[in-house]
Amino acid sequence: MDSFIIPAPLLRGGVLVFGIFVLGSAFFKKSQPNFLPKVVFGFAAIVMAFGMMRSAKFTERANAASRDIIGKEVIFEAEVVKEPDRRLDFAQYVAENKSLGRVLIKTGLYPEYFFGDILKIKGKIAKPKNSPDFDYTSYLAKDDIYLISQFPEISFVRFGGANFMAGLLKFKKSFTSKINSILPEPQASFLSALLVGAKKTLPEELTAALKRTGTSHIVAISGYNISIIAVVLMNFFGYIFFPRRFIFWIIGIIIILFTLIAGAEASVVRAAIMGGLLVFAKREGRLYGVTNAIVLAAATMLYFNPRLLRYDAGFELSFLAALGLIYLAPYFKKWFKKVPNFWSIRDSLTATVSAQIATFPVIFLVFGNFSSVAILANVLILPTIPIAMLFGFLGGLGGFISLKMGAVLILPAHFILSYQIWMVKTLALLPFASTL
Amino acid sequence: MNKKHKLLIVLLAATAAVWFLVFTKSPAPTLKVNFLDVGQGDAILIQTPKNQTMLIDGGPSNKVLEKLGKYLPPLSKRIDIILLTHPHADHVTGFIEILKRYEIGAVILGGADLKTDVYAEFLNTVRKKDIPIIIAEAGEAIHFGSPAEGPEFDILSPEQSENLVFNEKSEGFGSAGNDVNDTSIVGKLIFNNFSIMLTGDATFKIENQLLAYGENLKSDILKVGHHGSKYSSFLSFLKMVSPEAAVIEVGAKNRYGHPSEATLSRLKMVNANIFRTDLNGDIEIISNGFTTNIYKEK
Repeated sequence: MDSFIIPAPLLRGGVLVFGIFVLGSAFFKKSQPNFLPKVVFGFAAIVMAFGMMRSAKFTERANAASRDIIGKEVIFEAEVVKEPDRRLDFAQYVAENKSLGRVLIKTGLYPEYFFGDILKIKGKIAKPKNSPDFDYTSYLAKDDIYLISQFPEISFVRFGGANFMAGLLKFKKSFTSKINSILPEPQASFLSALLVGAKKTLPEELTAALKRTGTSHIVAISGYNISIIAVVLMNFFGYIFFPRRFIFWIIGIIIILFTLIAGAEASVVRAAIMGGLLVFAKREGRLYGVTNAIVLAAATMLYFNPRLLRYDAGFELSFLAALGLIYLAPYFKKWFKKVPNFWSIRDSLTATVSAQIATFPVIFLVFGNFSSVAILANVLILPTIPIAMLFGFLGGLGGFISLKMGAVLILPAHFILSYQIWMVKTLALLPFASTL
Repeated sequence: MNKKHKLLIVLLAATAAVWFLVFTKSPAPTLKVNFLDVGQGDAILIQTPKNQTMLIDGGPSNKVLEKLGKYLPPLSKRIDIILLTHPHADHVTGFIEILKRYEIGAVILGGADLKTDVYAEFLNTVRKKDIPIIIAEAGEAIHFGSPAEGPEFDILSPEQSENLVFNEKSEGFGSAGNDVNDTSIVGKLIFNNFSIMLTGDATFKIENQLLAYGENLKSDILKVGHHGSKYSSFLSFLKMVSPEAAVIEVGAKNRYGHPSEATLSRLKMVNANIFRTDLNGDIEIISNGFTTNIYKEK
């Protein structure tokens, strides 16, 4: 059975014709009282038809993924087209071959391959398998991956040539390696996760604790991190009397670079588009219509990758959280009026409650998990994140000059990270922390 | 904020700093040996009374990094000696990232060469970092203090260090009796009246040779050879060592079936208390040279 359902061509055509018909009838008798609803409805039907066609085109590609080679041993050359995913005890590479498409390769940690490397791969090709609690096929499909190969023979052919992305990832790697040389684990991985979204090397025990306490979003780059970066930069450039109009361009460029560095996951892209619009709106001196920004962000992302809508829980969670912060937060702000805003505790409380309520249904459905200490954990941890990020970033940069200097600069971050990790682990120990 | 408040905050910070130092500094001069639970593989961290550090083997993955973060002093990014008993992946893999992240004083190797990707990467990293390499040979010793106060690490095996090159692309056992496991560095860590026998993955063949040391094999604690495999820990050797406690570094549900029932029953025959990293988590041994405590994580 195919896991990707294609709407029948007849249905697609039918919806399109229906839309045109409704629209046409509206214009045919303009004087009708329901002219406007008809136009809107007809237009929506046409757009839906286009959406179905586009989605069908993408899914066809998925189902066509050379099924005749599944289970057979194949030799092929492929280029590493995504940032290598290095875990604690194995590595995964997304390798692209012209005729096979993208293949996810699971292999040992060493030898190490890099973005842009061209590899010769000899091994069995298989389809990803779903487990009872995780839809692995869909998870990979959102990145256009339909084939996997486990522990094949790999040999290095050549480096595909330097390009912009390879350079960016090289910088990211040397930055995180500075942090790794200065901080012990798990603080180092935790900080890298906060700054550049590299969360795959966190110890299992800590990842589970983050989940139990409803704080996983902290180690996923989100709008929160991006807004911190934007605000810090704006203040910094403002402080050194940089001309205002340049500041916005620079921050815009930095946000784009940051998005690429962080791996361009759905939540990062959403935050970047919305953050960019916010910066742009300020520059133009216009009001920032948040609803419009959200719709634009969603539409843009789906234009480039329609699979996100169905296969990426992160996409749904990210937008739900944003909607919660926008529409629910004002109410809770009134509720929590009496809470002192010492160390922005009230803001954290409002934001956490709004985001938690908005995302709860999807989290519960997808992960079957509800954390009862989420609000407490977030209020205790969120206010300390910006300082950890700031000193962590300075320490990492200082590490390029000398590791000793980096170690001194990073000291405040070191203490705060230790506090955060301790807090997460302690709260996770509570027997009622999470219900499954 | 008035002056009183400021003073209070300064005092509070100072108190916190002092307590932090109190908690992170071990009061009495003790030897700490941590058998780290890194899954199916070995990693043993030794911290001497003078805060020197030695890590014996790096384990099969980067899980060891978190363990180092847990047991080394919080601001320390140095390990004085890393010692690789033999070049199999379940002993060397974790070392590569350690070499990249920590300042390492010296690397001690057994002299056997194995042609695997992981070991090649390890050697490359050592060379790139320009860390001195010492080849261990029976009869040598590492002194962590003056000979009178110790501790010291006596190397009992390998006997020779003629160049043993294993042309195995795989991790499998070498052909023609050249078992990579038998090139393991075997050593005895001695601190006053206290001693630990560390055997790497050495099999009965080496154990038989070691019997020549006679009474000198006697140790309080034995790191059981080769994750408790049935080809190690023969009765004659165990009787000579006659350990109070035996530690097995082994991963839960490993595909080799370690530790074997045969080995476990032989250990029981010599009345050794058995500690296993798959069941007990990290196993920490703290000794002042006369009294010794064993703490387990689980």
